[in-house]
Amino acid sequence: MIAVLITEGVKLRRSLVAMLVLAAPLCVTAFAAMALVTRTGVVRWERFLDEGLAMWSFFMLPMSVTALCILLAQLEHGPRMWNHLLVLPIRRAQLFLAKFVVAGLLLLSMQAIVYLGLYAVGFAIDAAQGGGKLVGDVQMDDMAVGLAAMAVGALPMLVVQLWVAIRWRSFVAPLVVGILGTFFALVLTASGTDVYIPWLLQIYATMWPKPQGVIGLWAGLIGGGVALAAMLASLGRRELA
Amino acid sequence: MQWAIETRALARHFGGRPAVAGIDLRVPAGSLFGFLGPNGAGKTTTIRLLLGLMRASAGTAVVLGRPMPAARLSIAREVGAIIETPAHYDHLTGIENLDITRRLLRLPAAEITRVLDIVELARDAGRRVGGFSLGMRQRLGIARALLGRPKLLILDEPTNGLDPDGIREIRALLRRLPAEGVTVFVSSHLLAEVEQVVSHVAIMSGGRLLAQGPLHETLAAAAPSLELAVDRREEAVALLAAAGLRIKPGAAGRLDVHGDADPAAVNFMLHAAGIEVAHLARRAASLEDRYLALTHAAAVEGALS
Repeated sequence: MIAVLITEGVKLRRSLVAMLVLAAPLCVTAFAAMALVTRTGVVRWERFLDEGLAMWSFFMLPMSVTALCILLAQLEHGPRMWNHLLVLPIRRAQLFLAKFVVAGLLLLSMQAIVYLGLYAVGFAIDAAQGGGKLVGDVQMDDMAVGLAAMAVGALPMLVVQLWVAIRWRSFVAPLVVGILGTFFALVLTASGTDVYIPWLLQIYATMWPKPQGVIGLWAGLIGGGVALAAMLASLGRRELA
Repeated sequence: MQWAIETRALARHFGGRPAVAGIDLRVPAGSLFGFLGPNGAGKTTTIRLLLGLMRASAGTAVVLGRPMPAARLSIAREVGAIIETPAHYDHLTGIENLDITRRLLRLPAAEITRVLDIVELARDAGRRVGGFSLGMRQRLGIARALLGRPKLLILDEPTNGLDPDGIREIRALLRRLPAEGVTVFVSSHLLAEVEQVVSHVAIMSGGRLLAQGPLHETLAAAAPSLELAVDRREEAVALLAAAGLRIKPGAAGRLDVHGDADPAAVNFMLHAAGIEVAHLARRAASLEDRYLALTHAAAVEGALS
């Protein structure tokens, strides 16, 4: 399994995946920085961070996961590499599990960049404006826990997107699933109803330890595990071209 | 082990339509085996069945003495393959591409140098594959298939799209491999190419195996033809056709008389009709003759059934 993971890492060299992992979280920090700069008066750290997290969790994270899974799957679909990989003496489940592990690690990397990015722009703007722009508790621990919980809540979405991206050679199917999932998540959130779909769990998970957050976290963990098992079983049996 | 590949009634259907219709294929160990057939004959489907990429609808396949797909993992350690076009990660270098497969096969790094030397690609292997020519991509694909010294090499159309130089390079490479103990199974529709290198051959059409065996036996089964040059072509064609012989236009304005025609009888017949014979020679049947005869007969049979 280690060898399979290393080869997944080799494939990322000079690919668009690295650019996506860096660019998507930096977009959110840039938006958060613009919002902070244009706001008059003092701003509480809590509010600044919450706005950044909201932007990331509602829209940018689902769309980044969609793009990430498409790019990871297209590494094989594009040059028709599945045929070559599936005739090697490796269990099929290992190949697909390695894809999931890499996607999960890249998701964690994006969470870390959001964390570092928000604090970097927050401190930089505060210093540039002579200090006192951002007030209150810096909340570094809570922010780290919140982003980690968000990553756990995002697991079912990650698995579903990866499954669809590997299952269909065209990138259209995972793109449509990602857009529809994100759109319905926004609509459901606006309606105020608590519906636990994969594209909302990452938002609920950040509310931990509130009840909704606990449900979001466990649903992410258990749902992600079940979805992963189903994905490995399904793709392992399937004849890919 | 007598056979590197042995199938019994191997079949694969797609929605009721047979792509491979119960074939009994036998590939001798150590041979350079040509697997021939027109597009859509079922060659690639057969290869996918032999590699465990597809499940058979019926029948069995034994590869290197073990059942496929039950023993897929152990068979895969000893089989190198290119299926359809050789696929590579274009954003990586040739060496990085080989390194991925090397790591998955758990081979030492020196193995990359060895296979690059075999396909004569060491000089360019540090470049990104996106900039490779088709011939270089084919050679890189073969290099990857050779990683780990496989006992069986399965190549699907390895000379597809290559220029004459590229084809000659691949041909020379294939000729060297059986001497190293590798059984080479080459699928192709380029008959003249295959005839120059293979020791054994199988011909497939419409999902059925029409013939298989050593190349010389396959050729011997085809009746030789007569090559003929006459002064009055149309009259000669009409006369010979009336006598029940099959006539086709040959090279350089000549006529090919197919079937088991006696040269002396043909000469006498033409001479008696006042037709001057400038050239008359027996021509050994080519693989193309045999292939066309078999696939034509299969097509006629298919149309009648």
